[in-house]
Order: sequence, then C-alpha cells, then structure tokens
Amino acid sequence: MATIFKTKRLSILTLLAGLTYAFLVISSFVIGADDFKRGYEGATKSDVYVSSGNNPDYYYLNLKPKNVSNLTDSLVNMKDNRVIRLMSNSVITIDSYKLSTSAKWYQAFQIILAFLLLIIYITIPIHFYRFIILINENVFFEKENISLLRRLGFELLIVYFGNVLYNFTNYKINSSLFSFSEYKLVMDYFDGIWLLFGIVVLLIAEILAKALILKEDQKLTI
Amino acid sequence: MSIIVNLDVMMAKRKISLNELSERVEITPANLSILKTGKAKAIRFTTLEAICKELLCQPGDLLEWKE
Repeated sequence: MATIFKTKRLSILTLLAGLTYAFLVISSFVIGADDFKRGYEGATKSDVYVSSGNNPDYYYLNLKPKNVSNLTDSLVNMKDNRVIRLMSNSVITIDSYKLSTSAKWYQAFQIILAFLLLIIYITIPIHFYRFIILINENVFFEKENISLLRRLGFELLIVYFGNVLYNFTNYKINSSLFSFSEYKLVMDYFDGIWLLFGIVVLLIAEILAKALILKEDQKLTI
Repeated sequence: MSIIVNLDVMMAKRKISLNELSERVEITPANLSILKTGKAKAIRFTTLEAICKELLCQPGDLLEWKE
C-alpha cells in the first residue's frame, strides 16, 4: 500500500483534488437546484401574475436583527408544543415587485457575471489538468507551467471576487425593495477559501518563476 | 552586466580558435561561445583556471570591470 502511494502519489493527489473541486462545485449546484426549481415553477405556473404582466420572483434576504435581545418571531416545537422565540437569518420571499432602473441594471449585470463565472468554473479544472499533465511529464520550471499556474490563480481570485460582487448586487437589489423595522438587510457571505486558494496558487507560481530564473542562471554558468 | 569578458581578445592574441580552445579546456563550443559573447551569468573557478592555463594568462586578462 505504501509503495503504491509512493509511486502513484501525484495521481492520487490529483484525483483527490479533482474530487474535492467537483464536490465544491456540485454542492453549490445542488443547493441552487431548489432555487432553480422554484424559479421554473414560478415562471410556468403563475398564470395570475403572468396575465397581469408581473412575474413573481424569489428574493433571498439575508437578515440581521437590529436588536439581538428582542426576538419578534416564533416557531412551535411540535415535540413538546412549546413556542420558541427565534431570530431569522435568511428568508425567501416570493412576490412581484416593480424594480427600479438601477435594480434592473444590477440584474442584467448579474446575468453577465453568472455567465462569466460559469466559464471560469469550467476552465479551472482544464488548466489544473494541463498543469498536472506537464508535471507528470517532468516539466517543472518552465514558462508554460508558470503561466498556467498564474492563470489558475487569477481564475480562483475571479471566482471569489465575482461571487462577492454577485452577492453585493443581490444586496443592492434587495435593499431597493425591502426594509424592515426589526431586521436590517446584510450581504450574503461567500467562502473565503477561494481567495486563499487563489493567493496560494499565485504564490506557488511566483516560487516557480524564481526557480526558473535560478535554473536559467545555472544554465548560463560556464 | 558591468563585467566584460575579454576572452575573444585573449584568443586573438594567442591565435587560437574557439573549437581548439574548447577541446583543450573540455568545454563544449556552445558554452565557450556563451562565455565569449558575454551572455554567461557566471563562471566556475575550474573553468577560469582551465582557460587561464591554456591561454597562459591571468583571470584579470579575461575579466574586466566597467562602470
């Protein structure tokens, strides 16, 4: 087992990285699958709204209570029928709202951003795979390797900042439509691990670039 | 780089070709050419010693510092 791990270490780690990435991306799609289903049903089954010319839409509100000690909402615990007080952190609402011009622009921007992010989600594993292939062919300190790693690092950073921007535009749209007395709207959180990955990959690319300079110096030492 | 390699001058003085010198100091003509054209980033003491021995000169005859 230990021998297999030693000889196939690169392949095993690559497979693990691929699986982890697939898990990260697929899990976000699985979470979003319900939203997609709701959106689809909202568009196809809402004859009343459609006839009036207003399609209902889902709004995902991230809330933070203005006063933490004042819990205005409640739920019934069916195990013992006790009413428990609670604070809401996120709420999904369906209704038709007339969007302001700026909100419409934000929505259009979100569509472009989502398209860009989709492309990047596809190119990340391609670039990673190409990098691993080069490593497997014993190509280490080469310009091609470094440029692939840099591209990968920037793509990871784009994923992070793109998602933060998406959440920000969502927050702007929501704050143009909603306002509550007990809660304030807050921006959705996006996992900082993508930012960390991006920076680490760029750092590795810089280390390889330094190594390439040393290698060239070594080559020109007579 | 401000270090100038005067290998070509010394070779001309000793009337020795690149190929001949490369054979004598056991360096490939390509590497000796890099040294001669000033593209080299560094030179090993062993290489310097071998060239000095064959050209009967001092390291200072081969290398020069200019501002």
